[in-house]
Parts: sequence; structure tokens; C-alpha cells
Amino acid sequence: MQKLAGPVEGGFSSRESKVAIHELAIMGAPLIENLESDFTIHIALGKKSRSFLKLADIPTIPIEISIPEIDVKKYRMDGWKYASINLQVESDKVNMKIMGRFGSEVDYVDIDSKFTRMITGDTAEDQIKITIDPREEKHQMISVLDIMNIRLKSGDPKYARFSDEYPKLDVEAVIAMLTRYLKDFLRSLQQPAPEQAPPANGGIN
Amino acid sequence: MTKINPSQIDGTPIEELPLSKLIQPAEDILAASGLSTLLQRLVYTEKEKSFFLEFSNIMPSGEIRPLFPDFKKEKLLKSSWKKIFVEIILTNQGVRFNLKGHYFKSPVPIDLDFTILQGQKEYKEDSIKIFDRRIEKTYQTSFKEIMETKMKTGDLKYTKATEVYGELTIQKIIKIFNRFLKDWTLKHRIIERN
Repeated sequence: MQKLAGPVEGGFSSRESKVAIHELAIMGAPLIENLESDFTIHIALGKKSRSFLKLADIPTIPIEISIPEIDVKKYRMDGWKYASINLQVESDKVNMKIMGRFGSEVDYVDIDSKFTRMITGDTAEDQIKITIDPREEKHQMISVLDIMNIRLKSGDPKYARFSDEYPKLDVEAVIAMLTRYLKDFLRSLQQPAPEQAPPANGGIN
Repeated sequence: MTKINPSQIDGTPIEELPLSKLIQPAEDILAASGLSTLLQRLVYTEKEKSFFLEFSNIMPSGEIRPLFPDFKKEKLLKSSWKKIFVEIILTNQGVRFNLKGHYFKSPVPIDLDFTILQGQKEYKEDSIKIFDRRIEKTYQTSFKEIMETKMKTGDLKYTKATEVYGELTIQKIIKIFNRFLKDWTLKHRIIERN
């Protein structure tokens, strides 16, 4: 068998560890062409974390695609009970779905988000559903763009990094931003509601 | 784009090779990909085929060249397999071959978990678990035990005298295992009373 060159020997094209979500469609194009099918990158955050590629068949070309690196330990410590990040890579777009649970055993919210980036970099879909109480169907809808636009009094972004740019977001940046937002969101839910001032007439109608 | 043939090593189909022949290519593939472990899984159900490449904590930093037998669905799913997972896991310690899935030969429904770990010189692990869904009981055996099983005449039951444990091709391993399963389900048609 032909001896393959290892990464240290420069036998592969070096790649950025952080790839903009839409660029995954560009990187995945040869694989899609070879398989004649879309493929999925799946990242699971949980007690047993794993990442995998789901393909329709065994490819007959070397696979060169960047798998987003997520610091599972860090995000679990930050509050994710579990989550699955699915990246459906198609010839013209990448659909990213994040589903999971954030918080403690008692106080938690469920996340269901859809973020679709066209290969051109345009955003086709951006929505995050945060379910607070599934029994009462109490939820909040927000988007990655909304979260990015939340600012401190100083004008600095509250949840985004200074380096984050909406059109060039990578998977890790989205998760990091969402995590920071959810921490605050959960904290706000745990705070007792401010006591209402008694009505002027003493409550007598 | 470079074309590769993931189902052959130097022109020989992988299923016609013993697991020991995968050790060196596995080391090369891991070195090229920057991985310490690469799990490859082929899943066949009656309706679907999928191929998975699974990574542990380290993500690939180089190209991945799959190394996997070209199993035909009809060939693999014959003899009562309803769902089959074939896994070839490449590690720096050796190559693991797993055969898992659901097998049903009326009236016996079983789940199977068969694993062989090929080390540098010999099999380091060899285990077969058979879970009978009807009584929720697990039976354990090994491929070595299957190969050593004899008939009343003293002849080997599932293998030929020329077949040597540890040197069998992947194709032969599957063939012997299927022969054993057919016999096992036949023997266990009637549930024994405790």
C-alpha cells in the first residue's frame, strides 16, 4: 500500500480550525460529488461525546473536511446537559441544527435552533426556540443575529466576541454566543419577579 | 481529486485478507489523518445503507482515507440478518472488527455483538454476545470456541481442519459466524424452562 504522508510531513492541505459555516459547503463539494449525495456532520455534547460523519456510501476519494472542534468539557461545565449539533452539508447550503437542554436538573430550558447558510454566505434561516415550560408551551423565539446585536451600555457586544462577524460565523462561535446568552437567560428566569406596588385604592375595586 | 479504492489493499479485496494485514495500512491512515482512532461503520437495514466515520476527542487534521470491505447488501443481509452494523476501528494498538445487529430466524429474534481485536501479532480480544429478545437473556461465547466446536464424530462443526484461528480472512470469519448463528437459532427454537 502506498505510504501516506502524515500531517507533520505536510502531506495534506493545511486548514483553518475555524471554518465559516457556509464554507463547509465549499469544502464538502468534492465529497458530495463523489457520493452523489449530501452528508451530515454530527457533534454530540453529553456524558459520552462524539463526532461523526454520516455518508450515504463509502467514498472513493480522500476526505478533507474540517470537523468543528467543540470543547465539550467547557460547554458541559457552562450548563449544557446535552446537545446535538447537526450540520447537513448540501451542494448549495449548510443547515445547522442545534437541539439540547441547558441548565440544571431543576431549572433548564430546551433549545431547538435552525440556522441555514447558503454557499454564497447569505442566511436563509436563523431562528432559535427556547422552550421554558413544555407543558404550557411557554417559549421564546430569538435568532443568532438578535443575540449578536444585544449590546452593553458601553456599546460593546454583550454576547458576541469582538472578532465575530455575522456573515463569517463558524459553528464554535455560534455555540459560544448561544451559551453566554442562555446563562443570562436562565439567570433572569430564576430571579424572583419584582413585587408589585399595591394599588392606590388598597386593592378594593 | 485523487481517487482511492477503499476496499482493496495492493489490489486484493479487504474481505479476502486476514485482519492482521490491516495493521500497517491502519497506522498509515491514522498518521495521515492526525487521528489516534478512526471508527468506520457500515449500516445495512432492509431499506437503507449508511457509512459513518466516527472520531473520539481528537478531530482529523489531515485527509481521511477509508479502508473498508466492499460488502454487498444482498450478501451481507442474507441468512436472516435484519439489520447489520459492520465496524472496522483503526487504532494504534490494533484493528477492531465488530459485527452487530439484529438477526431473526423464526421464531428466534436475537441481537448480536461480536468483536475481535487484532493486535500486532494475535487476537487480543474475542467475544460474542447473543441476546435472546424473547427471554431477555444474554449468552456469551467466543469465535475461538465456535471454531473449536466439534460434532459427535470428532470433526469440527463449523470450520474446516485447514482453517486456523487468527489467520482467517474477514469473509471466512463472517461465513463461519453465519453458519454458527443458523445452528444456534435452530437449537434455541424452543425456550428452555429454568
